[in-house]
Parts: sequence; C-alpha cells; structure tokens
Amino acid sequence: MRVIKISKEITELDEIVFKFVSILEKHVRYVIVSGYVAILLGENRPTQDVDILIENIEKEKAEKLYEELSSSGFYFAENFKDFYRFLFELKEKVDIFSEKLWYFDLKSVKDFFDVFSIENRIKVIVNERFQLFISPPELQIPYKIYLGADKDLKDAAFLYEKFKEIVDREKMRRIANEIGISLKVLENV
Amino acid sequence: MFRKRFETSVEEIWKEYMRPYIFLARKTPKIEVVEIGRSDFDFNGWLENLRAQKKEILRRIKTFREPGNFRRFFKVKDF
Repeated sequence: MRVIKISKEITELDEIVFKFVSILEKHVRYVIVSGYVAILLGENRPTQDVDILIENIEKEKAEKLYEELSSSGFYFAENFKDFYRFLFELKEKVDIFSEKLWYFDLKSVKDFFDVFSIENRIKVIVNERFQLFISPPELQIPYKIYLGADKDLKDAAFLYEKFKEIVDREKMRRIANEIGISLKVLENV
Repeated sequence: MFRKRFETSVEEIWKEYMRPYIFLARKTPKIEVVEIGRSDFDFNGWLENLRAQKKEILRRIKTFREPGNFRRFFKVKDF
C-alpha cells in the first residue's frame, strides 16, 4: 500500500471527516472518492458532502456500523433495514448527516471502478495524528475529466500536480484510454 | 452559458480551469511519500474486466451529468 504524510491546518470539515472515518474503519474498508480528496490536500473550494465508498459487508457488521455512527452524533434518514437495503442490495447512495453543515454520501462497491479504488487505496497520515484512505489518482484523475464539469477539471489538475511523485503514469494512461479520455493536456505541463 | 461552453476550445479550458490549479497545487505544502508498497493487484485482469463492463458503467455515470460539459474536449479522437 502507498502511504503519504501531509501537514495542514485542521478545519471543521476535516474534524468531522476524521471522526466519521475513525468509526468507519473499525467495521469496513473504505475510500474517500470525492472532491474532499483535493480539499484535504490543500485545494480551497467549498463542498457540502463527502463521498465515501465502502466494501460490501454482512448484515451483522453493517448493523454494528449503523449503531456506532448513530450513537456518535451522526444521523440517518432511514432505519437500519432500509439503510442496509438501499446501500448493499439496491446499491444506492445513502446520506449520513453530521451535527455540522456537511453530510456523507456512502455507497458500496458495485463495479470495476469501485473495486480498483478500494484495492489501490492510499493511506494519508495527517499531522502525524489522523489517518484516512483516499482513492488512487490513476483512476481519480481520468474519472474526473470524464465527469467534465468545471469543478471536476480543476480537481483533476490539482490532483495531477499533487500526486506527481507517486502516480503510476502508465496505469493512469491505460485507464484513461479505456474510458476514452486523453490526458495529453495534463502531460504537457 | 451553454453557448460559451460549446464555443470554447481545449486550450481555453486548460487556461481557464486547469492551469491555475496546477499552480495552486504547487503553492500548497508538499506531500511526503512514506511508502510505495508493492501491490498484488492484478491490473491487467482488472482492465480486461473493465473493458467488458465499461459501456454500462459509463452510461450510468453519463445520466447524472448535464449536457454541454467539457468531456468531449478530452476525448481521445479529438487529439
């Protein structure tokens, strides 16, 4: 596994995320896949939600996760039965709300993109104190360009520069090729 | 807004949206690489599976995005 360290000023959003993932990692392997990855690494942009992908787990494990999050200041719109059905059976996103302004969008592994993200996740150690897992840039960067909104392109450029030292360019290029995206514009920097 | 999106070019997108963020990233504290561990992940096998499934995956992603985004500028055939 790749491990990186960063130092940063901890924001209110970071605190909520660290609290959330410290509970999550006791129960399931996860990876943060959203724009929060760029924010964590220093990009200054607003976000309302944090997208997190988790591997598929049995009902008993999911129930323990649900209970621990519920008793730690996080709120669900659904009871456990519906939470489990939406997340693991119907493969829909489930919102989990915090006491603050931000919420978490949880989704479970359903396709080969997701498998790649979980299996190649990167561990980030923040200020020698917190740890969390983020999605690999080899997929994240072409995927963001594929999404194509202006904020996605900004994130892609930002992440490309940040991960220059550890990204596997050959793999990233092959993934980009497979989804029909050219990285030429970034590679010419 | 949509007119602008359709009239723009990949160079403009690069200048307007991407290049500033390359420079911003350079201004932020560097990441420190602690470990580049070996991975047993079968990348070639995965890529073959992706190839078989990608049409369905990409179709699903597309449905959630507005028309007129910038993706078309990055399509391989455009280069």
